[in-house]
Amino acid sequence: MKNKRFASILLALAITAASLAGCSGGSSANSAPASTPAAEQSAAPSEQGTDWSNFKIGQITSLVVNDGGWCQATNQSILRAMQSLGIPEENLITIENVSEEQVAVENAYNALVSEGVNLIIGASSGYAAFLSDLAPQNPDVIIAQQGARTENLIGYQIRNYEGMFLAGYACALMSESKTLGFAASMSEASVRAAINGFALGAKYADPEEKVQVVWANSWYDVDIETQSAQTLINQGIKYMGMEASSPAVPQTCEANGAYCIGYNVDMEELAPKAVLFSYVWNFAPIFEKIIASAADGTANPDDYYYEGGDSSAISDFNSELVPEDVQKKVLQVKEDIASGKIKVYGGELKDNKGNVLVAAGETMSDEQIVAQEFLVDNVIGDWQ
Amino acid sequence: MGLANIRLERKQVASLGRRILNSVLFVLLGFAFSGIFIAALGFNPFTVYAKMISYSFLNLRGIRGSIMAGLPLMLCGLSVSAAFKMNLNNIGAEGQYAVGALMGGAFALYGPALPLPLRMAVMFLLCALGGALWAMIAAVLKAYWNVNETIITLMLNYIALLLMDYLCYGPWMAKRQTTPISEKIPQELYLPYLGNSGINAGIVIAVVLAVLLYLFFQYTTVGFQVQVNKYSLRSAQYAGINVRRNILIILGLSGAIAGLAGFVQITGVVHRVQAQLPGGSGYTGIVIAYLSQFHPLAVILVSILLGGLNNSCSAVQIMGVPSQIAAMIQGCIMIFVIAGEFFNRYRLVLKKPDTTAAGQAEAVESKGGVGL
Repeated sequence: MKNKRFASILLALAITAASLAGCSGGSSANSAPASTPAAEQSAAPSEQGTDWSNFKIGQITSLVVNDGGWCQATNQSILRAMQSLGIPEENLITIENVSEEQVAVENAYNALVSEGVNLIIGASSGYAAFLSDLAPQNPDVIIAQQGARTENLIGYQIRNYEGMFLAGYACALMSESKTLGFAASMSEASVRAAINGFALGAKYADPEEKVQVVWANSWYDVDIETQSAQTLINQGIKYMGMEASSPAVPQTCEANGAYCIGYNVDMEELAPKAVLFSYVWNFAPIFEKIIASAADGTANPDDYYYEGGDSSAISDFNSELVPEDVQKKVLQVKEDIASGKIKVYGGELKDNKGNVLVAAGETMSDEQIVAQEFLVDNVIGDWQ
Repeated sequence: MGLANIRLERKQVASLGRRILNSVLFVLLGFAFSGIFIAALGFNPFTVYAKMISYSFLNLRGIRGSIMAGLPLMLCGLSVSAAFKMNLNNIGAEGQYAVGALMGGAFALYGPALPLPLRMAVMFLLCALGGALWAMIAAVLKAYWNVNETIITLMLNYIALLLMDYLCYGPWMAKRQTTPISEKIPQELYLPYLGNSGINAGIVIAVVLAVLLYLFFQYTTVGFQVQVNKYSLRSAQYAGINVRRNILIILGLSGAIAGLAGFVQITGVVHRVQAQLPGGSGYTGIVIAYLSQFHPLAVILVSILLGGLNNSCSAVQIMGVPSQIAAMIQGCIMIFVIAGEFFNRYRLVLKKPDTTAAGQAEAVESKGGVGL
């Protein structure tokens, strides 16, 4: 008996040893991490001749970086910014799937700090409160945080209403009915800004155009987003915008002969018969500025980047679906926004409860835009 | 010789040394198994494991992180262990933790500013009370109508977590926040740190509770009765033990301990109430209780190990290993260790050619005894 017991332990040990040996043998030749496809080659050294080889960037994301949505848009933006500055791609350290709660964020922060990163990018607005508390522990590590202005953190945010204005404008030009749809995620200021941008764009094309909003109350939920799109379609709506992250809305539209504007990244491939074009987050120009300021020591926690233009981008048009004249008109409006001829939040502006938000001839301040708590007058739905 | 020639034989209770050896062996097997996947992705499993261990256990910051991450796990593990001493399956540590956190949190955020020691004590008691009350629902149903406590405690988790969601997304949500968190609790209610270790006094609460639990089961009448109940409710009743009262005591105690996880986490770590507060600790507590063989002092140690394993997830990602793999390593080790538990009670024996009918009957019988 004693011998057999001993033999069984030996056997188990042998298996352990054999498999471990096998593993190490197979991998020793190829221990470099698989590279992300976006930026294969790092560009030539930048003009200033800054030595970027020791500049490390950490990013904390709420889902995986190839989620086909928000995290992917952020990740690709960081990689583009690094490429144009000439920072080697392996200097980006990613910690994924970090939930928006204190313990997880602190753990990710500590892991990045112990790796000696110079800059941490918090890619979800939910990290703000926790990173703000952690930042004073290591003042040398600059933290850039997506979302509203927060103490101790550099803030960045995109004027998403500009791109969304174009989305609403295009939908209204193409729609025969007087109602468009909008599949929204959570009622948060930036989401409301997207809805309002979309509705104002629709109104710019046709003053009688209304926008029906449906909320998912989730940042990412395939089932609920499918239902959102289906609800809108069942009401006879054929064109819709979205601020939802899963592929559900485009795919539901395609299955029902409806159309939508993709969101986060170019979604044309997901539903080529439904996606007219996509609203695309392009953080790269902002990240370039933040990285540069962090590198030369001019970064200040009071910095706040709230940018539109190339950051609030739209993808190429789906030429199968969008007629040439619509394309031209949309691009013209894009220019007019850039030149200041069109002021998205210009007066007179009323909310859908009848309150005047901006008097005629005036424009809403950025502070109000960033923290907006209203839906404009041609939106059907409530935000609370 | 095929599989048919191997049979299971029930063992006598294994010695402590054997049990430890067994656990270590299966941890190694767990590492070996995940190593296959790590290697398939093109990483060297040894460097990955070395990084995990050095990150979590081989430096002061790592050890501190492991203890802090293990803190709520300890209390949930103790909670589950205590209930299991009487064969009660408390799957509800998650919910009891949440309700404890809510009651304590409500007091911390909106309660009167009592003088300091009293304020801390009230918060402590409210957290314990919240957990105990939540467990008591299942306890009363079990004691008086013999309703299955496993189902009730599990279902109550969902109710508690939704209640927490409602409060943190709704009336308690901090201004200008997009995440379900409350404002900070008053600074006076922060748990102090132990010297300059960066470890908060919550660890003292957990260790003291573990010792008290150990003494309770070892040396008190109720503690002894509870363990008799575990083996046979009927004989316990026959011996004049008040089973009903013991169910109420033990589940109430179990819930109170889980509720205290809310106390240490709010006052010691998060300093706010947040919707994700229990974050699965209640369920991990079940795993910890089994891994520790329901021994309160072992719960402390195992919790720190699992806390460290959890933290090392981000260290592994730094090397470029995908987050899913990091989570898989964690799951693998847990499953292997739990599976390995089986070999503390059974062993594989090669059949002798002249197996007698009696021998087979014995093997069948021992199989019938499988169960946790």
